[in-house]
Amino acid sequence: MDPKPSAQIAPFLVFYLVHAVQIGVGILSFSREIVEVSDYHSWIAIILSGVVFHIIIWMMYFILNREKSDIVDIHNGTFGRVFGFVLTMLFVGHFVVSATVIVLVYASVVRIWMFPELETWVLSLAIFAVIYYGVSSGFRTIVGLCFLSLVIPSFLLLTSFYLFEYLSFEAILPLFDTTLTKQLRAMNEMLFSFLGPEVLLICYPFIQQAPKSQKYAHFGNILTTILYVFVALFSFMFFSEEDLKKIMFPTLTAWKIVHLPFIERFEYLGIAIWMIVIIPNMTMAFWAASRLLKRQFNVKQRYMLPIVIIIGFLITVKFQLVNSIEQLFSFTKFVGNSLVYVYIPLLFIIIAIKRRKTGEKNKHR
Amino acid sequence: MKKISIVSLILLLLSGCVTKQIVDEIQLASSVGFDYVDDNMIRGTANVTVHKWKEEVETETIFAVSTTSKDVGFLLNTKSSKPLHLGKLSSILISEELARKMDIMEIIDTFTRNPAVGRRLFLAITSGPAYEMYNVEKLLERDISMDIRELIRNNIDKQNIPKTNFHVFLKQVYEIGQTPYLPYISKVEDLVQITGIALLRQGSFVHKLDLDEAFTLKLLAEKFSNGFLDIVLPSGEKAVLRNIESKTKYKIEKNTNRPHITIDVLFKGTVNEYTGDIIDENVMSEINRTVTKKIETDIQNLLHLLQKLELDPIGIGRRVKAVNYNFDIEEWNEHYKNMKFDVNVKTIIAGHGISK
Repeated sequence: MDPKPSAQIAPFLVFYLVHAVQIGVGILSFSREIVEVSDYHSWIAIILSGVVFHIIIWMMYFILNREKSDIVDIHNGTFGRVFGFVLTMLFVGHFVVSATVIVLVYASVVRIWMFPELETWVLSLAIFAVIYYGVSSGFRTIVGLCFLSLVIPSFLLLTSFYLFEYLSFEAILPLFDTTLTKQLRAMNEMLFSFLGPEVLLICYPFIQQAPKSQKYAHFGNILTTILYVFVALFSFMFFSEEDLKKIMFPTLTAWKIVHLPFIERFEYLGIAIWMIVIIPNMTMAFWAASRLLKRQFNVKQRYMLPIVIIIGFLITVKFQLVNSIEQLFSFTKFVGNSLVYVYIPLLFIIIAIKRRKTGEKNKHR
Repeated sequence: MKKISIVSLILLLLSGCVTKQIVDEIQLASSVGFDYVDDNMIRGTANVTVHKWKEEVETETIFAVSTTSKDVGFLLNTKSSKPLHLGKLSSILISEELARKMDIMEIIDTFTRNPAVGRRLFLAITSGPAYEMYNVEKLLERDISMDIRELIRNNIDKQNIPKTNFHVFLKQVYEIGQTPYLPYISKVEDLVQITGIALLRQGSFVHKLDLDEAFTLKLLAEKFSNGFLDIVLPSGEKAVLRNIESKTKYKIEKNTNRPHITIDVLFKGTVNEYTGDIIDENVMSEINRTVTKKIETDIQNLLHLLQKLELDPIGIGRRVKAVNYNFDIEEWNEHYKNMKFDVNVKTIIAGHGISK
């Protein structure tokens, strides 16, 4: 039942996997979103959210190391076949819809910035073709994409040098001039940006010496947190607060100040390269969804993949307007947040209690 | 292999789905100007680059009159032989009359919305009608838009104009404890010139500072080098100093909305021009004293003027906010109107050129 060793990945690759599935389209706009509900001190909330996610990663590894299997077995073993099936299907839905939302947001960015007359479904069809190709090449290929998605776009960080002369450092002063409620509201926005590594629940059997990979998962999460804080601080110091609230995608608008002799609008280049960042995100989610279906129904993943891809594509056809995308987005946010931040801790408690009980039983024997 | 071919076929088929915009089939506006017509009408003028054969480039000016700037863009298109594109826009000029009577934020709204427009372009207030600026015979650069752009850039880098562009302006407009400023340009004897700094409140023109006041403003607002200062010594001799480096520090009393503020200015300069004979120790110390005195009075005068106008282009309010945990903008504004600043100037004369 376990995947062949040739299909497995080395533990350190989990670092790239975790980081790549966390960074998506959220980084283009989250600095506005958290300022809308909070203030210029909400970078603290980003660090807090990162810490919360460390706990989630720890819980996931606790569950997985205990059960030595993936989420389908855990569900069926813990909740029985019927209820386990429902929960597994919830995860399938979560992966399909959250990846589709990324496609939709990215397509709408392309439409807003580059080609106003482009139909969303055209671009999403192209993206889904690439996703299909990526997923059907197998898990190792997807992890390879994760690695590339960190390495290739890393040069975009250099563009921050252009921002330096416009940064006003007093914007984030006085430090910690904030309230707990504001931070909690910002955290509520921010937690979703850390989602993604719940694929570990599915791809755990694909990791060699899986328990050893836990520290790399934490490293990946640390890198994501640092990157988010960096982007947030730069946006806060670069724009003034009221200005930032008016800007749809602050990260892209900040690129407008980049000045290169061979390209007038740098953000066009940035948007194109962003595709490389989101591809592993989407491929990983669709891989996870089809893998869950395969494990649940015992059919080949090859047959399940087109089904989830077509469902995703139909969603992109249905939701084309900015408002409807936003509604779908807040729905996804709700489902994703409750699955990861409510359900996983619950599962953790159940597994922990079960473990103690069986442990006591063993003692008595 | 089959998969690759299917995927690439889809990608190929989809690549023709949007209309192309080829550079010599569109008209690139390099500068636009806006003027006041009456209370409901504005006049928009676009300076477009026309590419002729080979490397020949000419500029043309087209104009349209309408109620909002978005409509102006639309109407300009009806007068243009090719679709107008704003990707290469390098400056937006707004006449003083328009900036006095209307909120210029309404006019530039369309430029903040359009993804093709950059944030490095320059916004400027013109003394006469904005369209007049494009009718200049004497050009120092290839065309008038480039002339205006290089003029403003040069004056920011090497002269008395504090740092400004579209991004800085938008940032200042929305900043708490700061009012925006823009370069002020005029047409003088058939040549476009910078003649000062326009001070605005939100999007409305309030006051114009001349170049000397602009120097003081720049001294207070940012750390800078370059810029020139004229002084008259008590002996009647005149001297011109070039600023090598200047630093301004604000000492602000913490955690109060009615703080006491001390401004420490360090001015380092060299003598560029001196009408007297030779510069010896005595003359040096006299220049030093005069410069210190002049900068001190200039700063005090400028601050008094700004307080009277209730404007804060330096961003003192922003600096007060940064050291105050209970900042209240109303109370600060009330205090700002009547407060007294302590100004300490320290001058270092680093040299007097290659002659004695």
